[in-house]
Amino acid sequence: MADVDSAVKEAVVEALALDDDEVTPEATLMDDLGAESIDLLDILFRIEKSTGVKIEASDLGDYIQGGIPDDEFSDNDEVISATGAAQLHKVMPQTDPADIEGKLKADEVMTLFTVANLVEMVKTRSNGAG
Amino acid sequence: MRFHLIDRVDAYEPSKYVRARKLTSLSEDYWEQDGDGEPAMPPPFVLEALCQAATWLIMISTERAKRAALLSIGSVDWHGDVRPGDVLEMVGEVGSFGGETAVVSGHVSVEGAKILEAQDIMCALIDADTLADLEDTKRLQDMLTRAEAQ
Repeated sequence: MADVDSAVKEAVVEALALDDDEVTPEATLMDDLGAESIDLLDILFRIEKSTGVKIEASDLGDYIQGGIPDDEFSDNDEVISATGAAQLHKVMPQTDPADIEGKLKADEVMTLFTVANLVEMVKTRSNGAG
Repeated sequence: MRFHLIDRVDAYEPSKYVRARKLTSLSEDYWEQDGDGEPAMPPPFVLEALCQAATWLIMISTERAKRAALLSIGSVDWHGDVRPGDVLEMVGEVGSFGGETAVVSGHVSVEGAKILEAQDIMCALIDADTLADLEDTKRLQDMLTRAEAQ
């Protein structure tokens, strides 16, 4: 299997037609690199081709939410709860729960997802798949 | 208007590959003249025929629950012209098949000569019952695969 770090980077570079040095580990896929939902599908397919790890677009949300039910992950206004913020810190260690709890809308969490977070997800998936 | 560019699905293995064909005829209305004034099938129609073959594979593989909507194509190479009377053979092989998307690569050939090759045709899988009568789809599938005769 290809090295996950370089496989993810190459997938992002090619899918978004970016220069190599633009795709840094801390860059967020959507806000910093401009990925749209169709680009995410392209990135995930390229990763599958090079690493054999299959990730569906819906898996991204499930991975980020970590199996926590919607009504615990966010409040009635769909703003991230303390439980949700703690979960986000687990899968996106660069986030500060104090900046998220009670502030970030649940449908905005993907905007925080970085290249490094995707690398970690692919590694987790590849270990889980044996 | 509906453009059906598949006459027969000759072989398939669900979620793996499909082989289909189309007999072209001058009586069809898509021909355009090439530089020499001869009728040629517009290349996008040749690509469309391959995409339709791939769509049938997806419909068959999901027991007609899903249809494919084209998202992107990695690359396409053209190698020749299609003339009236040519029999197109479309071969599609699945690169990835999930609940939300499928990716197929393949080629179109005439008498064994490759006319078109396409890599990484990516499509979204859409619930088919919102798009067409599923019984109609089943009838058409049986006709294309000659299931009724088997």
